[in-house]
Amino acid sequence: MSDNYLLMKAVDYVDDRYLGKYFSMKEKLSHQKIKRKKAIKWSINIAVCFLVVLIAVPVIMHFTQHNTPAPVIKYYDNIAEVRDDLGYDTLYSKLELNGASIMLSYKSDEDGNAQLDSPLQLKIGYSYSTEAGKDAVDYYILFDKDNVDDSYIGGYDEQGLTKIINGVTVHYSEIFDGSNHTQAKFIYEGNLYVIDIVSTDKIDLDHYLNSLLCD
Amino acid sequence: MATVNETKNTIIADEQIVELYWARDEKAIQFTDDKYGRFLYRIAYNILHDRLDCEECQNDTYRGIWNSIPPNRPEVFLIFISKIMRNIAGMKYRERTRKRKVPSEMTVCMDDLQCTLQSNDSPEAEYLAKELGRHINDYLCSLTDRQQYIFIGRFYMGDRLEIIAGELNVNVSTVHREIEKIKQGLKAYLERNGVYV
Repeated sequence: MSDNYLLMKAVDYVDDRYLGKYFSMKEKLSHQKIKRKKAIKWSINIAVCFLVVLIAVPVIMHFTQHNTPAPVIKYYDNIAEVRDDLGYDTLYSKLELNGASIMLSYKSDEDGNAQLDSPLQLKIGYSYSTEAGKDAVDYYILFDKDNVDDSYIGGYDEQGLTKIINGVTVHYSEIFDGSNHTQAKFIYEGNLYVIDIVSTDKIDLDHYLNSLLCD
Repeated sequence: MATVNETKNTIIADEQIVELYWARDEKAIQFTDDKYGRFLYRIAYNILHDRLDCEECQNDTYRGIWNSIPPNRPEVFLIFISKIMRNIAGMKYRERTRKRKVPSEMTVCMDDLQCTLQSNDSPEAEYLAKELGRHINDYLCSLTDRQQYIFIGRFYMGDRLEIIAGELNVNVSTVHREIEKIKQGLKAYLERNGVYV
Protein backbone atom coordinates (compact mmCIF):
# COMPACT_ATOMS: atom_id res chain seq x y z
CA MET A 1 0.00 0.00 0.00
CA SER A 2 1.45 3.38 -0.97
CA ASP A 3 2.04 5.84 1.83
CA ASN A 4 -0.58 8.23 0.50
CA TYR A 5 -3.19 5.50 0.27
CA LEU A 6 -2.30 4.25 3.76
CA LEU A 7 -2.85 7.72 5.12
CA MET A 8 -6.12 8.08 3.24
CA LYS A 9 -7.32 4.79 4.66
CA ALA A 10 -6.21 5.79 8.15
CA VAL A 11 -8.13 9.05 7.94
CA ASP A 12 -11.12 6.98 6.80
CA TYR A 13 -11.21 5.61 10.34
CA VAL A 14 -11.84 9.07 11.85
CA ASP A 15 -14.58 8.61 14.39
CA ASP A 16 -18.13 9.52 13.45
CA ARG A 17 -18.38 11.94 16.37
CA TYR A 18 -15.67 14.14 14.82
CA LEU A 19 -17.39 13.99 11.45
CA GLY A 20 -20.69 14.85 13.15
CA LYS A 21 -19.10 17.85 14.87
CA TYR A 22 -17.56 18.89 11.56
CA PHE A 23 -20.88 18.89 9.70
CA SER A 24 -22.70 20.66 12.55
CA MET A 25 -20.04 23.35 12.71
CA LYS A 26 -20.09 23.66 8.92
CA GLU A 27 -23.82 24.37 8.98
CA LYS A 28 -23.40 26.88 11.82
CA LEU A 29 -20.58 28.68 9.97
CA SER A 30 -22.72 28.77 6.84
CA HIS A 31 -25.57 30.49 8.74
CA GLN A 32 -23.10 32.95 10.27
CA LYS A 33 -21.76 33.76 6.82
CA ILE A 34 -25.30 34.43 5.55
CA LYS A 35 -25.96 36.66 8.58
CA ARG A 36 -22.71 38.55 7.97
CA LYS A 37 -23.61 39.07 4.31
CA LYS A 38 -27.09 40.29 5.30
CA ALA A 39 -25.60 42.65 7.89
CA ILE A 40 -23.17 44.06 5.32
CA LYS A 41 -26.00 44.41 2.80
CA TRP A 42 -28.17 46.25 5.37
CA SER A 43 -25.27 48.48 6.36
CA ILE A 44 -24.70 49.41 2.73
CA ASN A 45 -28.43 50.03 2.22
CA ILE A 46 -28.60 52.25 5.30
CA ALA A 47 -25.47 54.12 4.26
CA VAL A 48 -26.90 54.67 0.76
CA CYS A 49 -30.22 55.92 2.21
CA PHE A 50 -28.34 58.26 4.51
CA LEU A 51 -26.29 59.54 1.58
CA VAL A 52 -29.40 60.06 -0.54
CA VAL A 53 -31.05 62.05 2.26
CA LEU A 54 -27.86 64.03 2.80
CA ILE A 55 -27.78 64.99 -0.88
CA ALA A 56 -31.50 65.21 -1.58
CA VAL A 57 -32.48 67.50 1.29
CA PRO A 58 -30.32 70.47 0.23
CA VAL A 59 -31.31 69.90 -3.43
CA ILE A 60 -35.01 69.84 -2.58
CA MET A 61 -34.62 72.87 -0.35
CA HIS A 62 -32.86 74.68 -3.17
CA PHE A 63 -35.68 74.04 -5.61
CA THR A 64 -38.40 74.85 -3.13
CA GLN A 65 -36.99 78.19 -2.09
CA HIS A 66 -39.80 79.88 -4.00
CA ASN A 67 -42.18 78.37 -1.52
CA THR A 68 -40.79 80.65 1.13
CA PRO A 69 -43.34 83.29 2.23
CA ALA A 70 -44.44 85.43 -0.75
CA PRO A 71 -43.33 89.06 -0.74
CA VAL A 72 -45.81 91.69 0.33
CA ILE A 73 -46.55 94.58 -2.04
CA LYS A 74 -47.35 98.00 -0.74
CA TYR A 75 -48.81 100.77 -2.93
CA TYR A 76 -47.93 104.40 -2.46
CA ASP A 77 -49.49 107.67 -3.62
CA ASN A 78 -46.24 109.58 -3.80
CA ILE A 79 -42.50 109.12 -3.53
CA ALA A 80 -42.38 110.85 -0.14
CA GLU A 81 -44.30 107.95 1.42
CA VAL A 82 -41.73 105.58 -0.02
CA ARG A 83 -38.98 107.60 1.63
CA ASP A 84 -40.84 107.44 4.93
CA ASP A 85 -41.02 103.65 4.85
CA LEU A 86 -37.51 103.10 3.56
CA GLY A 87 -36.03 105.68 5.91
CA TYR A 88 -33.84 107.24 3.22
CA ASP A 89 -34.04 109.07 -0.11
CA THR A 90 -33.56 107.27 -3.38
CA LEU A 91 -32.55 108.94 -6.64
CA TYR A 92 -36.23 108.93 -7.59
CA SER A 93 -36.96 111.33 -4.71
CA LYS A 94 -35.72 114.07 -7.08
CA LEU A 95 -38.44 113.44 -9.62
CA GLU A 96 -41.83 115.00 -9.91
CA LEU A 97 -44.02 111.93 -10.12
CA ASN A 98 -47.51 113.16 -9.33
CA GLY A 99 -50.04 110.53 -10.21
CA ALA A 100 -47.43 107.88 -10.79
CA SER A 101 -48.17 104.25 -10.09
CA ILE A 102 -45.84 103.34 -7.21
CA MET A 103 -45.47 99.87 -5.70
CA LEU A 104 -42.78 98.43 -3.45
CA SER A 105 -42.40 94.76 -2.51
CA TYR A 106 -41.01 93.67 0.82
CA LYS A 107 -40.08 90.35 2.38
CA SER A 108 -42.87 89.12 4.53
CA ASP A 109 -42.73 87.78 8.07
CA GLU A 110 -44.41 84.60 9.32
CA ASP A 111 -47.70 86.45 9.70
CA GLY A 112 -47.57 87.78 6.14
CA ASN A 113 -46.73 91.35 7.13
CA ALA A 114 -44.23 93.46 5.21
CA GLN A 115 -40.77 93.70 6.72
CA LEU A 116 -39.99 97.35 6.03
CA ASP A 117 -36.29 96.81 6.69
CA SER A 118 -36.21 94.22 3.86
CA PRO A 119 -37.35 95.93 0.63
CA LEU A 120 -37.05 93.83 -2.50
CA GLN A 121 -38.12 95.92 -5.51
CA LEU A 122 -39.56 99.33 -6.21
CA LYS A 123 -41.44 100.06 -9.42
CA ILE A 124 -42.69 103.46 -10.50
CA GLY A 125 -44.66 103.76 -13.71
CA TYR A 126 -45.04 107.20 -15.27
CA SER A 127 -45.94 108.64 -18.65
CA TYR A 128 -44.28 111.73 -20.05
CA SER A 129 -45.57 113.80 -22.94
CA THR A 130 -42.84 114.94 -25.28
CA GLU A 131 -42.83 117.23 -28.27
CA ALA A 132 -43.19 114.31 -30.64
CA GLY A 133 -45.15 111.81 -28.64
CA LYS A 134 -45.25 109.98 -25.36
CA ASP A 135 -42.66 108.16 -23.24
CA ALA A 136 -43.86 105.40 -20.94
CA VAL A 137 -41.19 105.01 -18.28
CA ASP A 138 -40.82 102.32 -15.64
CA TYR A 139 -38.38 103.23 -12.91
CA TYR A 140 -37.08 100.28 -10.87
CA ILE A 141 -34.88 99.79 -7.84
CA LEU A 142 -33.74 96.24 -7.07
CA PHE A 143 -32.46 96.53 -3.51
CA ASP A 144 -29.21 95.07 -2.25
CA LYS A 145 -27.68 94.25 -5.60
CA ASP A 146 -24.06 94.81 -6.44
CA ASN A 147 -24.06 93.67 -10.07
CA VAL A 148 -25.96 95.05 -13.07
CA ASP A 149 -26.39 91.48 -14.34
CA ASP A 150 -28.71 90.78 -11.44
CA SER A 151 -31.47 92.58 -13.35
CA TYR A 152 -34.03 90.35 -15.00
CA ILE A 153 -36.08 93.16 -16.46
CA GLY A 154 -36.14 93.40 -20.22
CA GLY A 155 -35.58 89.93 -21.60
CA TYR A 156 -33.41 90.99 -24.52
CA ASP A 157 -29.76 90.55 -25.33
CA GLU A 158 -27.38 92.98 -23.72
CA GLN A 159 -25.64 95.17 -26.24
CA GLY A 160 -22.67 95.99 -24.07
CA LEU A 161 -23.15 99.77 -24.41
CA THR A 162 -22.04 101.96 -21.51
CA LYS A 163 -21.69 105.57 -20.65
CA ILE A 164 -20.38 107.30 -17.58
CA ILE A 165 -22.46 110.00 -16.01
CA ASN A 166 -21.17 111.82 -12.97
CA GLY A 167 -18.84 108.91 -12.16
CA VAL A 168 -21.54 106.30 -12.46
CA THR A 169 -21.22 103.63 -15.17
CA VAL A 170 -24.53 103.15 -16.92
CA HIS A 171 -25.14 100.07 -19.03
CA TYR A 172 -27.80 100.48 -21.69
CA SER A 173 -29.39 98.84 -24.68
CA GLU A 174 -31.42 100.27 -27.54
CA ILE A 175 -34.04 98.08 -29.14
CA PHE A 176 -36.16 98.81 -32.18
CA ASP A 177 -38.98 96.26 -32.14
CA GLY A 178 -41.71 98.30 -33.77
CA SER A 179 -41.55 100.80 -31.00
CA ASN A 180 -38.60 102.58 -29.54
CA HIS A 181 -37.38 100.76 -26.49
CA THR A 182 -34.41 101.53 -24.30
CA GLN A 183 -33.28 100.13 -20.99
CA ALA A 184 -30.53 101.50 -18.82
CA LYS A 185 -29.18 100.23 -15.50
CA PHE A 186 -26.53 101.12 -12.99
CA ILE A 187 -25.46 100.44 -9.44
CA TYR A 188 -25.87 103.29 -6.97
CA GLU A 189 -25.28 103.09 -3.22
CA GLY A 190 -25.69 99.31 -3.13
CA ASN A 191 -28.89 99.17 -5.15
CA LEU A 192 -29.55 98.39 -8.82
CA TYR A 193 -31.46 101.06 -10.70
CA VAL A 194 -33.21 100.13 -13.94
CA ILE A 195 -34.96 102.59 -16.23
CA ASP A 196 -37.09 101.06 -18.95
CA ILE A 197 -38.47 103.43 -21.59
CA VAL A 198 -40.88 102.75 -24.41
CA SER A 199 -41.67 105.68 -26.70
CA THR A 200 -43.57 106.53 -29.83
CA ASP A 201 -40.62 108.67 -30.85
CA LYS A 202 -36.87 108.74 -30.47
CA ILE A 203 -35.83 108.33 -26.82
CA ASP A 204 -33.62 110.90 -25.18
CA LEU A 205 -32.00 108.58 -22.65
CA ASP A 206 -29.52 111.18 -21.48
CA HIS A 207 -32.37 113.40 -20.33
CA TYR A 208 -33.63 110.73 -17.95
CA LEU A 209 -30.20 109.72 -16.73
CA ASN A 210 -29.10 113.27 -16.11
CA SER A 211 -32.25 113.99 -14.13
CA LEU A 212 -31.23 111.22 -11.75
CA LEU A 213 -27.45 111.35 -11.65
CA CYS A 214 -26.75 115.03 -12.05
CA ASP A 215 -27.47 117.70 -9.48
CA MET B 1 -43.72 7.23 -9.05
CA ALA B 2 -42.81 10.89 -8.65
CA THR B 3 -41.17 12.67 -11.56
CA VAL B 4 -37.69 14.20 -11.33
CA ASN B 5 -39.15 17.71 -11.19
CA GLU B 6 -41.39 16.82 -8.28
CA THR B 7 -38.52 15.36 -6.27
CA LYS B 8 -36.29 18.36 -6.97
CA ASN B 9 -38.82 20.76 -5.47
CA THR B 10 -39.20 18.77 -2.21
CA ILE B 11 -36.80 19.34 0.69
CA ILE B 12 -36.84 16.05 2.53
CA ALA B 13 -35.40 15.19 5.93
CA ASP B 14 -32.57 12.63 6.13
CA GLU B 15 -34.70 10.31 8.27
CA GLN B 16 -37.32 10.20 5.55
CA ILE B 17 -34.68 9.40 2.92
CA VAL B 18 -33.46 6.48 5.07
CA GLU B 19 -37.05 5.22 5.38
CA LEU B 20 -37.38 5.30 1.61
CA TYR B 21 -34.25 3.15 1.32
CA TRP B 22 -35.76 0.72 3.81
CA ALA B 23 -38.98 0.71 1.80
CA ARG B 24 -36.85 -0.02 -1.31
CA ASP B 25 -38.33 3.06 -2.96
CA GLU B 26 -36.05 4.27 -5.76
CA LYS B 27 -37.07 7.86 -5.03
CA ALA B 28 -34.55 7.59 -2.18
CA ILE B 29 -31.67 7.72 -4.66
CA GLN B 30 -33.13 10.77 -6.42
CA PHE B 31 -33.63 12.57 -3.12
CA THR B 32 -30.06 11.70 -2.10
CA ASP B 33 -28.75 13.10 -5.37
CA ASP B 34 -30.88 16.27 -5.07
CA LYS B 35 -29.79 16.99 -1.52
CA TYR B 36 -26.20 15.73 -1.41
CA GLY B 37 -25.14 15.19 -5.00
CA ARG B 38 -22.90 18.25 -5.16
CA PHE B 39 -21.44 17.52 -1.75
CA LEU B 40 -20.55 13.93 -2.70
CA TYR B 41 -19.12 15.09 -6.03
CA ARG B 42 -16.90 17.56 -4.20
CA ILE B 43 -15.45 14.81 -1.98
CA ALA B 44 -14.67 12.75 -5.09
CA TYR B 45 -13.23 15.72 -6.99
CA ASN B 46 -10.91 16.66 -4.12
CA ILE B 47 -9.49 13.14 -4.30
CA LEU B 48 -9.53 12.39 -8.03
CA HIS B 49 -9.63 15.74 -9.86
CA ASP B 50 -11.27 14.07 -12.88
CA ARG B 51 -14.87 14.67 -13.93
CA LEU B 52 -15.54 11.27 -15.45
CA ASP B 53 -13.99 9.41 -12.53
CA CYS B 54 -16.04 11.53 -10.13
CA GLU B 55 -19.29 10.78 -11.92
CA GLU B 56 -18.45 7.09 -11.96
CA CYS B 57 -17.70 7.19 -8.23
CA GLN B 58 -20.94 9.04 -7.58
CA ASN B 59 -22.97 6.35 -9.34
CA ASP B 60 -21.03 3.67 -7.44
CA THR B 61 -21.75 5.52 -4.21
CA TYR B 62 -25.50 5.53 -4.83
CA ARG B 63 -25.32 1.82 -5.58
CA GLY B 64 -23.29 1.34 -2.40
CA ILE B 65 -25.86 3.25 -0.34
CA TRP B 66 -28.72 1.25 -1.89
CA ASN B 67 -26.95 -1.99 -1.01
CA SER B 68 -26.11 -0.84 2.53
CA ILE B 69 -29.55 0.39 3.60
CA PRO B 70 -30.93 -1.95 4.79
CA PRO B 71 -29.50 -3.62 6.83
CA ASN B 72 -27.94 -0.43 8.13
CA ARG B 73 -30.01 2.36 9.56
CA PRO B 74 -27.47 5.21 9.87
CA GLU B 75 -27.96 7.69 12.67
CA VAL B 76 -26.37 10.47 10.68
CA PHE B 77 -27.07 9.90 6.99
CA LEU B 78 -24.57 12.53 5.83
CA ILE B 79 -21.65 10.89 7.62
CA PHE B 80 -22.68 7.47 6.33
CA ILE B 81 -22.79 8.46 2.67
CA SER B 82 -19.66 10.61 2.86
CA LYS B 83 -17.72 7.60 4.15
CA ILE B 84 -19.02 5.44 1.32
CA MET B 85 -18.03 8.07 -1.26
CA ARG B 86 -14.63 8.58 0.30
CA ASN B 87 -13.99 4.87 0.34
CA ILE B 88 -14.99 4.42 -3.30
CA ALA B 89 -13.06 7.49 -4.42
CA GLY B 90 -10.09 6.30 -2.40
CA MET B 91 -10.06 2.94 -4.18
CA LYS B 92 -10.23 4.68 -7.54
CA TYR B 93 -7.38 6.94 -6.35
CA ARG B 94 -5.26 3.89 -5.45
CA GLU B 95 -5.97 2.38 -8.85
CA ARG B 96 -4.85 5.55 -10.62
CA THR B 97 -1.79 6.17 -8.49
CA ARG B 98 -0.49 2.77 -9.49
CA LYS B 99 -0.20 4.20 -13.00
CA ARG B 100 0.69 7.79 -12.25
CA LYS B 101 0.48 10.54 -9.62
CA VAL B 102 -3.02 12.00 -9.33
CA PRO B 103 -2.97 15.83 -9.48
CA SER B 104 -5.65 16.36 -6.87
CA GLU B 105 -5.96 18.32 -3.67
CA MET B 106 -5.93 15.02 -1.73
CA THR B 107 -2.49 14.23 -3.17
CA VAL B 108 -1.28 17.57 -1.88
CA CYS B 109 -2.67 17.06 1.61
CA MET B 110 -1.47 13.47 1.87
CA ASP B 111 2.01 14.49 0.67
CA ASP B 112 1.81 17.23 3.26
CA LEU B 113 0.87 14.81 6.03
CA GLN B 114 3.44 12.29 4.93
CA CYS B 115 6.15 14.71 5.98
CA THR B 116 4.85 14.09 9.48
CA LEU B 117 4.94 10.31 9.51
CA GLN B 118 6.51 7.45 7.65
CA SER B 119 5.50 3.84 7.41
CA ASN B 120 7.09 0.61 6.38
CA ASP B 121 5.58 -1.65 3.78
CA SER B 122 3.50 -4.41 5.38
CA PRO B 123 1.19 -7.10 4.06
CA GLU B 124 -1.17 -6.24 6.89
CA ALA B 125 -1.88 -2.85 5.31
CA GLU B 126 -5.54 -2.68 6.28
CA TYR B 127 -4.66 -3.43 9.93
CA LEU B 128 -1.95 -0.78 9.80
CA ALA B 129 -4.37 1.80 8.44
CA LYS B 130 -6.85 0.95 11.21
CA GLU B 131 -4.20 1.28 13.90
CA LEU B 132 -3.02 4.55 12.50
CA GLY B 133 -6.62 5.70 12.35
CA ARG B 134 -7.04 4.88 16.04
CA HIS B 135 -4.03 7.00 16.90
CA ILE B 136 -5.36 9.85 14.78
CA ASN B 137 -8.68 9.65 16.64
CA ASP B 138 -6.91 9.78 19.99
CA TYR B 139 -4.92 12.77 18.82
CA LEU B 140 -8.03 14.56 17.52
CA CYS B 141 -9.49 14.26 21.03
CA SER B 142 -6.75 16.62 22.27
CA LEU B 143 -7.54 19.31 19.68
CA THR B 144 -9.98 22.21 19.97
CA ASP B 145 -13.24 22.13 17.98
CA ARG B 146 -11.78 24.58 15.51
CA GLN B 147 -8.62 22.51 15.02
CA GLN B 148 -10.71 19.36 14.56
CA TYR B 149 -12.76 21.23 11.96
CA ILE B 150 -9.63 22.24 10.09
CA PHE B 151 -8.20 18.69 10.25
CA ILE B 152 -11.39 17.08 8.92
CA GLY B 153 -11.82 19.77 6.29
CA ARG B 154 -8.27 19.41 5.04
CA PHE B 155 -7.41 15.72 5.45
CA TYR B 156 -10.79 14.02 5.28
CA MET B 157 -12.71 16.27 2.87
CA GLY B 158 -9.58 17.36 0.97
CA ASP B 159 -10.71 21.01 0.82
CA ARG B 160 -8.32 23.72 -0.33
CA LEU B 161 -7.00 26.14 2.28
CA GLU B 162 -8.96 28.96 0.64
CA ILE B 163 -12.23 27.07 1.14
CA ILE B 164 -11.52 26.40 4.82
CA ALA B 165 -10.38 30.00 5.37
CA GLY B 166 -13.57 31.29 3.75
CA GLU B 167 -15.74 29.10 5.96
CA LEU B 168 -13.95 30.24 9.13
CA ASN B 169 -13.79 33.86 7.93
CA VAL B 170 -10.02 34.05 8.43
CA ASN B 171 -6.95 34.52 6.23
CA VAL B 172 -5.45 31.60 4.32
CA SER B 173 -2.20 32.17 6.20
CA THR B 174 -4.04 31.65 9.49
CA VAL B 175 -5.35 28.27 8.33
CA HIS B 176 -1.90 27.36 7.06
CA ARG B 177 -0.36 28.11 10.44
CA GLU B 178 -3.03 26.07 12.22
CA ILE B 179 -2.40 23.08 9.95
CA GLU B 180 1.34 23.27 10.57
CA LYS B 181 0.65 23.30 14.29
CA ILE B 182 -1.68 20.29 13.98
CA LYS B 183 0.88 18.37 11.94
CA GLN B 184 3.66 19.03 14.42
CA GLY B 185 1.37 17.99 17.24
CA LEU B 186 0.40 14.75 15.44
CA LYS B 187 4.04 13.90 14.80
CA ALA B 188 4.95 14.41 18.45
CA TYR B 189 1.93 12.33 19.54
CA LEU B 190 2.81 9.44 17.25
CA GLU B 191 6.46 9.46 18.35
CA ARG B 192 5.40 9.37 22.01
CA ASN B 193 3.17 6.37 21.24
CA GLY B 194 5.81 4.40 19.39
CA VAL B 195 4.36 4.67 15.92
CA TYR B 196 7.23 3.95 13.58
CA VAL B 197 8.80 7.13 12.38
